[in-house]
Amino acid sequence: MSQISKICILGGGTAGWMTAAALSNKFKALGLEIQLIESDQIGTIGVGEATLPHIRYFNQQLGIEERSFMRATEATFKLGIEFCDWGKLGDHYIHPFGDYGLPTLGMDFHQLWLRLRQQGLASRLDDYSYPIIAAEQGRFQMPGEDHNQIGSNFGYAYQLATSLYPIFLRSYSESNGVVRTEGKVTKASQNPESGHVERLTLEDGQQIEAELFVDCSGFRGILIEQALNAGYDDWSHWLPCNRAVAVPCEARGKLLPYTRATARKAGWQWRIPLQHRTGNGHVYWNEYISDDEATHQLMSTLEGPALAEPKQLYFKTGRRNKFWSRNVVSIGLSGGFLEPLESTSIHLIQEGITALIELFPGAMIDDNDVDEYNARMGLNFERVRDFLLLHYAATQRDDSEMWRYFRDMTLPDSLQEKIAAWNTRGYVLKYEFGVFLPPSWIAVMLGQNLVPASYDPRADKYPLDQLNSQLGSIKQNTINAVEATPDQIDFLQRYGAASQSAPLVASPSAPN
Amino acid sequence: MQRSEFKIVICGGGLAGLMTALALHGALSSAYQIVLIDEGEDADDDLSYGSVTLPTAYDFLRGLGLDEPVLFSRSNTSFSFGSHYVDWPGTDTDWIQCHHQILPVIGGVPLNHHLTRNQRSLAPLLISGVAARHGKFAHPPNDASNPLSRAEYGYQFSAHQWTRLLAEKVQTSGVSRSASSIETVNTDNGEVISLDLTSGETITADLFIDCTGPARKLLSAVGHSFATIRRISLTHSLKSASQLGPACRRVQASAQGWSAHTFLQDSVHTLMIQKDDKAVDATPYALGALDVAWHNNTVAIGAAASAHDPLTPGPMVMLQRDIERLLDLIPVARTFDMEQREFNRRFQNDVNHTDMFANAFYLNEAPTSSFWSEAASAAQSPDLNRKIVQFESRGILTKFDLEPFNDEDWTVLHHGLGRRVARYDLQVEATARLDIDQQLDGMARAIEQLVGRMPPHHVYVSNMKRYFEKQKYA
Repeated sequence: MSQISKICILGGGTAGWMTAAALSNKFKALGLEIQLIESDQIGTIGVGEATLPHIRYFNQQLGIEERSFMRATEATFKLGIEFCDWGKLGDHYIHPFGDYGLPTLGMDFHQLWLRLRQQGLASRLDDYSYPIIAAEQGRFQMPGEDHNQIGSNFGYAYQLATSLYPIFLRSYSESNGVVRTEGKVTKASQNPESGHVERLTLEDGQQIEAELFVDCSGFRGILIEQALNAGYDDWSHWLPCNRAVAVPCEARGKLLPYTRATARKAGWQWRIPLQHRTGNGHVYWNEYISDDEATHQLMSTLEGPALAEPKQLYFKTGRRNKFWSRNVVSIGLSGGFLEPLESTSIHLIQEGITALIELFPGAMIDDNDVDEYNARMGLNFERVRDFLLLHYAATQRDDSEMWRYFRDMTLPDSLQEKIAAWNTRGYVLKYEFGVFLPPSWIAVMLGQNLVPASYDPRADKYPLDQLNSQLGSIKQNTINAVEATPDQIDFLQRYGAASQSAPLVASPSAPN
Repeated sequence: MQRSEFKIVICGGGLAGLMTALALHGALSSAYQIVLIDEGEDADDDLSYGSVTLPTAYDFLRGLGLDEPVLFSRSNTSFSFGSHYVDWPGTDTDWIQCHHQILPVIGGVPLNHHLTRNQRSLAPLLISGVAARHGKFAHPPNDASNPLSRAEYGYQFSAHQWTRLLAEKVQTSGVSRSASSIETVNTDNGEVISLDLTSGETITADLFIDCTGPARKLLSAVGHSFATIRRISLTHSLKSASQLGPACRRVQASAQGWSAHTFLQDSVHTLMIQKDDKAVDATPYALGALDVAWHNNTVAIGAAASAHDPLTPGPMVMLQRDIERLLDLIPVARTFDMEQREFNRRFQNDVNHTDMFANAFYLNEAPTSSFWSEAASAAQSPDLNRKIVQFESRGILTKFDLEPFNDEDWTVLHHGLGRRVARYDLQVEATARLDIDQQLDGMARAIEQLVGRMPPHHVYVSNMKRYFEKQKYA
């Protein structure tokens, strides 16, 4: 049996090096030749500084040691995302990585909670979530084996420097035999019959041939779009934010194990705490705010002095009609873009790589594999889209043009139905495939003031006293478990994941 | 919140009606009044549910009060490691479609790829299949180092006897039951207003549940049509047996259809499926589904909603899912548009996925009789095609959300039907072929040896019943 033997990855950002690392790890024993072309002159986007818990699985499969990875990427632990001002101005809630409460009486925990709440006997649902309480207090520890134990009933991800992660993966990939070529592509030559890309010509005349190309060239999609015209399904009518400005600043205050996303009048702003600095950005819709004003809003709300000039980014939300076309697979921004509100950028890269590995071509590219890949990735993108749109749709805000736009929007049926089911009775439409599970939907809907009119009538089967005491003890155990949890900064030190670098400080010449 | 009274009337005294009544009564508070109109109908209708369940039935039945001491001591229920398909069209060997936990991963690669590379068969590596073939049974232990811990089991059962057990449970449960029949279904504008019963009583409700089987008394009264996919006929016979047979139903194909022998504690039940015009004493049965199972204030459950091929445990798993879906969506108010839409969405998915598994049996090359050709032409669907293409191409299991049949069911089925995988994940070559062979030989040997020490199904069941008996008097 054989498989293609030459593969070329175009682009060396997060997507490119994650792909190179995973493919080289998977196929190193099989003589697959992997080349990666990147140019130091082309910057990478790197908006995906925050990740989802699934990245741990990616790293584990690569045999990456967590501590050295965290030191190399200035990573911090992430227990969830805090959303401020989304439901209405002044609101805030944390979307945690983990279930609320514990499995109780064979029912969905939140249904029992809804009943107690209607009786005036429950405090906020967050009080039953270990990751939320720990996050609020800036604490972290590793979950234990038993996920039904309070203090272990959560998952975690990282906040990391996206400029450093590719560097870390590059040395990993190169030690697996990946060959990196410096240069810019000037021409992609296609086979006149099959339309397959056969070779890339670089500025210096060098030619690189391969049987399969992975396009990680970012928004431009040099191969998937410019050469193969795969087409783009524009989702800006649903997710209209189309620009961002990003800037790092000096870290201030306690090192928090969560990312913050604060809603603004024409977009939202992120804050991502790393070990050596804080990442910031403002995602906005240029229809309702100028670039200057967006930048001003960002710069005037930084917690510390800026460490660089703000960087401007342009994008259009949506997905490539075909993620895989002929012999080109687009992974990363070339495949599609969804705003980084729920840290899905790196996750979608990971999904793309996983599917590519599972469907990796044999001696030839098989249309069935291509169709399967496209079907899977399409579903992934769509399900993330609905979840992101939920943040804009489930809101009482109408204080600016953008919020009024969302108020008047006709939602996709799939999302409309989810909201109706929740509002009626706290019912969460379940699916098996897709990154966001019911607790995530519950967090956002409840956090943005969608309070169900009723609850699952099965919750009435139990005596109120029994529920009250069971939930009460889960809440108390959560408080106790958090009290026994160290501050993140202490844990990082003790764990051996603290980087050696000193916190970055703005040089006198840098802008404030 | 004080819930206002809500009355649910369930029509039908067969498996579907009784199970639904017990499930609702067990899950809901007294704000929900549950009334069962037990028409005492011909329980033969329920034979179309087949006579086997999937492993998921264990928890479901326990929830209804039918735990193993009840099932085995008070009815002729037996265990089912799966079904044994013999002479199936397009196959050169028989196979046991057994229930099994997640298959092992060797060297980071799923077992399937190693089997393709080493050209080995799956069957000797499945403890539940090997045990069933040898007529053995024992409960899977928790100890993960014991190969038997990977087995899963459902039940072989008699619909008549389960109906009797359930009816007894209903009697003692406090469900209000009316032994009467429906004379007229009064409707207005697509809603059921009331039911006139033969007892002279007229009964109203907030929600009516139609468990009347293929008669579909309520749903047809409100104008819902059943879309027939295929017509078959069912013939039953029952033979007493002095000794319990294997923990495995036996399904034998012939040119005209197939027949299934279910091995119960005291008897062997035979179900013969043919084209609908074959036998004189056969019951015609239309396979298919309602377009919507929940219409206004009426919900169809079980065979009233959809009729599935009893070739697999599909009909029972569908009945179970109908009830679970209803429990998830019991109205919380007198308007229930959202519940209705969601119920119908899930119903449609469940129907498609349940049928897809049975349909997969009929795509092999088959005898040229009209039974097989009708079955084959009804079996085609793009989703099933995608599953088969992906499996045959490289052993990949294409999955859809929340299917009733899991990865292992599909893997065993593809292998059983003789589907060959063209390519394997080259990663398997990281391990020497011989090493894998040795490892697989070791697994098969361990299974063989363990099965040798397991008791025959009938011995295990009698010992278990003696144990239950002792417990009862202890």
